[in-house]
Amino acid sequence: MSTSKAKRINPNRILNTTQNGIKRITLSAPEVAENIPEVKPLRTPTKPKNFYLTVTHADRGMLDDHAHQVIASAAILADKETTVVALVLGELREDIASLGADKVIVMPEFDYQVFQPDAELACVLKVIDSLQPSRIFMPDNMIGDGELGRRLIATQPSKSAATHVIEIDAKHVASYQAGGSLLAFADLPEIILLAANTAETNLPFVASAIPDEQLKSTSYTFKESNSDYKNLGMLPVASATIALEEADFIVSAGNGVSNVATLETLARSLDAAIGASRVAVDDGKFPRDKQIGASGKTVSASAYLAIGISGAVQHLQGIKDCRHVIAINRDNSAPIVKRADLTVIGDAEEIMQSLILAIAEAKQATSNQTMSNPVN
Amino acid sequence: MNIIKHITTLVSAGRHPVSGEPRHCHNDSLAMTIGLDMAKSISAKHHVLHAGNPDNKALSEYLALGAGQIDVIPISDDTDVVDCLATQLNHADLILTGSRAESGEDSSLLPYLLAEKIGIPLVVNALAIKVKANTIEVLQFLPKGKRRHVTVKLPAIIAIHPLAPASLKFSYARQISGAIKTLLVPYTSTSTSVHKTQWQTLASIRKPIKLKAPENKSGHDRMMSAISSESKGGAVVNNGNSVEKAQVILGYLREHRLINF
Amino acid sequence: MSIQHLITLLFWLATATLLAGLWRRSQLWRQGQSADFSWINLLAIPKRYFVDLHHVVSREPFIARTHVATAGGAVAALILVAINYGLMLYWNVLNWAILIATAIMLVGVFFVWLRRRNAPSRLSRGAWSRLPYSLAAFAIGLLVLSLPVSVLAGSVAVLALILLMAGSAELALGIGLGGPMKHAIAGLLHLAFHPRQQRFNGKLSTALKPIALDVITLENQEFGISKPSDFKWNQLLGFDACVQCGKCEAACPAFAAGQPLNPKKLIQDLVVGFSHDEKSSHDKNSKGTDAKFAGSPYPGMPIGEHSGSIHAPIVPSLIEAETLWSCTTCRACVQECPMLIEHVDAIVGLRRNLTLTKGELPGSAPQTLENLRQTATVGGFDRKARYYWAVDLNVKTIAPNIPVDILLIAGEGAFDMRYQRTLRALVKLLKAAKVDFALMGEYERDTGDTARRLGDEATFQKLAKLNIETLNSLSFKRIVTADPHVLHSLKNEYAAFGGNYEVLHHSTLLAQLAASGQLKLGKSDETRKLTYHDPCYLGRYNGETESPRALLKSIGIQVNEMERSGMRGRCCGGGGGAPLTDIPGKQRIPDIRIADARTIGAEVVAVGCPQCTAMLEGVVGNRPEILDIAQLLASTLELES
Repeated sequence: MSTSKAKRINPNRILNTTQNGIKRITLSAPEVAENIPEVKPLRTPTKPKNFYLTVTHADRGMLDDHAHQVIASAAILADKETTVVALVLGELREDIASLGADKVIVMPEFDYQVFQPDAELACVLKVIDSLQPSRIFMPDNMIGDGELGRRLIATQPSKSAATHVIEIDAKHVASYQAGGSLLAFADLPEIILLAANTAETNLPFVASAIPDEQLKSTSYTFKESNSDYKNLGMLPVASATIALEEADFIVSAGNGVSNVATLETLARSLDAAIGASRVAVDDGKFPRDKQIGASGKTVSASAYLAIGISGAVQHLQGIKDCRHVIAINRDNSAPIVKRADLTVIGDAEEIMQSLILAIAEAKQATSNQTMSNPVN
Repeated sequence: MNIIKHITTLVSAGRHPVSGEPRHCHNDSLAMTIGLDMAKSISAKHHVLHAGNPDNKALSEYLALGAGQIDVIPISDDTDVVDCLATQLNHADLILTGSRAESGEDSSLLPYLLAEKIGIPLVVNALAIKVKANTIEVLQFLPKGKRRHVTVKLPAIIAIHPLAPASLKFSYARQISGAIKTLLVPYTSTSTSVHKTQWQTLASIRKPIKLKAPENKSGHDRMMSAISSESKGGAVVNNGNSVEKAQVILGYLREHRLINF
Repeated sequence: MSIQHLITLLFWLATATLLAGLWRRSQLWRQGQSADFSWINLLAIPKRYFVDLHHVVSREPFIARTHVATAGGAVAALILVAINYGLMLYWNVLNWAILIATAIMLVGVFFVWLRRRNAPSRLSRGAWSRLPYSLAAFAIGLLVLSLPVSVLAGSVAVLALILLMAGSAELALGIGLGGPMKHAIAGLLHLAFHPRQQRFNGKLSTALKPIALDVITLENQEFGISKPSDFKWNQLLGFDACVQCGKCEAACPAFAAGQPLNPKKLIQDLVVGFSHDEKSSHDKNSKGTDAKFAGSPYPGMPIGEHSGSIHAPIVPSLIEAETLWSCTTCRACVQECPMLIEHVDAIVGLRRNLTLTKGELPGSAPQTLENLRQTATVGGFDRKARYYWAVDLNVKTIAPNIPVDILLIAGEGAFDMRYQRTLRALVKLLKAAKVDFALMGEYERDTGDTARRLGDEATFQKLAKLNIETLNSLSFKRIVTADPHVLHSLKNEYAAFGGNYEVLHHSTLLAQLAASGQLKLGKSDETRKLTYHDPCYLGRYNGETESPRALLKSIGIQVNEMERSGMRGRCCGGGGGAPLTDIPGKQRIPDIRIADARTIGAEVVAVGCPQCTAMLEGVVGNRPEILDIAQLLASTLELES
């Protein structure tokens, strides 16, 4: 692949209309059209007859990508007579109109970190009871929706259902079976638990996303004292002790890291887990269980900071599921540069030291800010 | 004091994804190991229960992993597993199983359907369990390294998470000295399966297709999106001193909300 | 009573003590399991001593000569004393002979003493340090006493007698009590009743012996060796033969890498185990400890914290599991042992118990065994994918109705992109030699080598039986493989299960083809300094050290030998499942081997094994290039064309 830095010229240059009313293309003029936000048409069900319900948990006011995909897929599959209702368990502080939700019901009393499956189920059943949706879409995830969805399926023996759905369209769903050795198809069922990355969230339309106060006020009945379950709270876990496979932020060291202590300080200040390339492990700088790559661990962190790692194929195999890869490397022709979303060329030790200082300053600034204008 | 007298672990028959060889389901084996350890520590009786073909070679692997004896409800493929397991589990104080099987529909629904059928509570994604008076304290798995403590009243079903820290010990000696006992329960399916999704399987695996909104794009638009999606490969910062470079990294982390300061 | 009569009395007393001690010692050995043996082999001791044992000892001429003088003098003196004093002949002429024999012994003892003054660390101290003195006492005492009577003053004679008694105590009493001199008796008997009798027929005996895996065996005994009494009696005898010279320690790659293994201490720990019995003693503390061991400890494990007895489980109270899992089964210790002790058999026996009975293995070993059980490959691969590297080479795959001369079995290396280059080079050479050959294709299952070294005899036997069934259904004359581990299993270990094949390492076959002119090799344009690394499973296990060298010579490459090569080659660290159990040490074994290559300034290391290739290529930093023999040979074909 060419890594040429030559800027591509947009063949459809923007027209400028001169004072004389003549349209001209001025080659030296900056392109302005790039940043003009696209105005998308509004989708509204013309003859609302039935409902598609999506049920998703929010985390600190935000829905994750997986939840976005679920709402978007409901919106994509909804026809003109179908209203998409998004039931959000937990606080919601983002606008989900762009995902195609026509109505939004927010239940801020829930939190995915608090275990109350029977209360959540009672709530969902109440909403289902009042809406009678023709289909229910949920993310098949580990933050409560996968579990809630299955509890729902178990209580609704009359409804057809599918879990671990890896492919969906207007007619059918597909799922792996028998340990991943078979691909199975079924007609679009009534309850659908979608796996991650089954739908595009970039829709050509927006929806109104009106908060549905009426549905919200239909309170469900649930008595906590009758519950079989009791939530005892979260166990504090330091990032450094989290298994690499689970870690969300990994600072990883390769041959180019000479000072392990600096790396550890950086990992601590970012609250990140520590990983290493095979070379660094073989060198005895890190224990074997820190090794990332084909012969070590496969990781799926949101952020992967690769320091002094050239990026052997085996290592890149181990980080293929990482979302943001940032590399610090001395050599700008190293293979990691092609993989990384951001590469900083330079001395690993110096940049790590500067980064540690910058983080400390940023943290200080944030805490000052919080103290000067406390929230709530 | 100790109200748990019987612990039953449900095990399923797995198969290797590459070779197709019958094997134990790793997740169920973790559940069984946790069950065996708990039974030992509180002097309860541990049972291993399977519904399916008693001749399945996968079962002997559970023997190797310490089952001792496996009780098998001999059923054919079209019998409803939930119903027949439920009839055998009336006396269990604690039922353990894996979170996801490697065979059948892999829907991970079994513990839920079973809990609903028997009418007892269920906790899934358990990493560790501890007996507390008439409840079980469960350490639950949540993503991103998060962990949660919950308690559940007994009797209950606990589904063990695949990352539960139990080490499996495969012993050939246990494999050949263990026993597989076929239960002679006359079983007739009284009700049909709970959810009626009809699956049709395809032996060949292909990459799933992502759902996309149909768009009426012009040819030009399609070309533009094709060009723009090609531009993979990130920014490279060559210039500046280390302080400036550190700021670039910090800026990137902030921009993508990877840090909260 | 005259001095002469006193010596006679002392002789018979010592003989009685010796016999009593031997009886006691043999009772200890007899606690082991029954083993096939033949009394006739007692007659073979002299030959085995002077040929087979001497062959090992003579590698160090100084110590060989010292031992000839000391032991030869002592044995001669003892025989003469037996005749002259034992039978009460008291001939003067025999006294002169005794004088000469003890003088020779004394010279030997002097050199023993000299060596002990600056002893290398591999030699044990403790009781062994007193040996020059007690032997000198014996020799001097006897020497003085065999001087003509008239010369002796009474006090000198008494003094000499005391010295002789002290020396005799070492020889007679010491054997029964397990002192250093027990090696003499146990060593000779070990030669007669050695568990691997083939070693004395000039052949290599390296195949592990199968064990019964049925339920009945299990009811009587655990699988593998759990307690010292689970060893065969002749194995226990063998352990007693150890002279603690530490040749094994010096040769052990795991010891050198700082992993917690020292073959010498392992044998001594087992001696401690079988010579103590908790039950028969009233003293509760009769468990033997390793506190008296006066040699190098297992690296990182202090001495004095472990103890055992005949019926007590060995792991972990006597020997830690990590010690057993550190072994690469390279057999360097066995190769070096002057007493022909079989360390690797003991280690695998103990591993079998851990694996088959307890199911306790460290690192990624359990996953590997599961892969072997479920996919018949080490890495859990699809068997169909094993020969993907050959799809474009236009080579036929064997089938029941396709007879071929040579069947090529690729082994696990075929899944490794690096080793596929070697295999492709091999195919190219076989084609150039116009050999009628075929690939094994998806018929091939792993030979089970790794499973067997890890103690999983059940999985090994299952795979062996399946492979034999497959191979017997196919029609071929010979098997060639580029993997010495495959070679060893198929050639040496499958015979016990009814699989008898002519199996050749690719270097052997290519050397034959080159010698017969069927394979016409060119001259290599390799100008870099090259050395050859002997794979343990090719050299020590199969005795093939010449073909690779001959081939390299034939293409005009000069082989510069590293420290330790040929049958005494240093291990790469890749055998015996050691990379899987991955016991931490101070450095890695392949680093040591690459250091050997760097020392002689080698820029290329020629290899003949996928394990060695992977291990040596895994060394960090600037290192010589690793090339398989087949790659070096194949490159000369290109030059020709």
